[in-house]
Amino acid sequence: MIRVDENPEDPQTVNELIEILSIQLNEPVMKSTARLMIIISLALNKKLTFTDLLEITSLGKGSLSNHLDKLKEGGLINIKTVFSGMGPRVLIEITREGMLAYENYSKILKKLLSH
Amino acid sequence: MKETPMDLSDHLKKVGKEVVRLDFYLLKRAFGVYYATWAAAIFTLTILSYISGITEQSDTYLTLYGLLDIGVIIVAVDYTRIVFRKAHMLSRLESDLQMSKSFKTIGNNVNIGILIVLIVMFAIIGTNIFPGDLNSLLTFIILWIVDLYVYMVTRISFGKVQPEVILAVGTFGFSNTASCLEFLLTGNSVYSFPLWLVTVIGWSISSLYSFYKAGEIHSTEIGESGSRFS
Repeated sequence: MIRVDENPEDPQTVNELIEILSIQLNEPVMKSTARLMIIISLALNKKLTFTDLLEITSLGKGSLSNHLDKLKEGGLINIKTVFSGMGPRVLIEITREGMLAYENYSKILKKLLSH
Repeated sequence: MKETPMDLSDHLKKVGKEVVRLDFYLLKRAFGVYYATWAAAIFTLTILSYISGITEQSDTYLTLYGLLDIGVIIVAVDYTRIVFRKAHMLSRLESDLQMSKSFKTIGNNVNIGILIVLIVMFAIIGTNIFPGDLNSLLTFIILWIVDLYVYMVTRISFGKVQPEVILAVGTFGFSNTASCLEFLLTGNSVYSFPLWLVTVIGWSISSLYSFYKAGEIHSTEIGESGSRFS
């Protein structure tokens, strides 16, 4: 197990945090990056359209839909259809749980990069 | 094979940096909407104020004018909140990735401080507890701080000074300074429409330029390469 300098108030190791993040995303963060990229992008923007996420991730429509379904199952995002002047648009919004997953990622970065 | 801390660090850093690279286009586009929103808001506020100043208006008109003023400000401030949140989150992630107590981190703290000062000052002015002249002068001062605040947020978000920011901040500063001088010389505290038209034009051009640059980033950074992880 990789142990890094531990904060007494936050005793989790990087491995523990990565394990939690992998469970949150429902995929191992070291094996695949699509869901992590989606969560980071949504954390930065709060909500994005399906088209925005297609552009950011460069995934195919089917593949992106699958990843979004998994994230929705985990309660990390909400998906809704909104009607605008340019027709219906699929809007993806990050939830509180999604923000927690992002904060977890941010915490891992801080721990790893402080070394 | 078991990952080492260096593998983990590199991998997670790469993902974060990739999102930052791709997100730059979204931020540029968001600032395009932000400039357009405020150009429309300043146009509406100053032209209505101008019409009220040169003609006699009924109570109904003044009530509608007041309501429209409030509505325009609420929409513009709400969009500002959304854009500045994006900017704050992006610079926070960049700061996490660089792990430096850099300009970005310090800037974020300064930004939050300025934001609190602005909210408190606007609230004080809104209560009208000061005499009219002092109230007008304080408003000019707050608008200069707003100008500085916009500059700082964009400077921190984009890492370097952008041409559209110079234009937006410059025209806003010009209109506010000219209005202040007009007030000091003539005592006219109504925002002069011709002076603020400079800002409306400047911010409209900044908006168009932001959209143009966003499109350029989109075609070079996203259109051709897309995500390097997919």
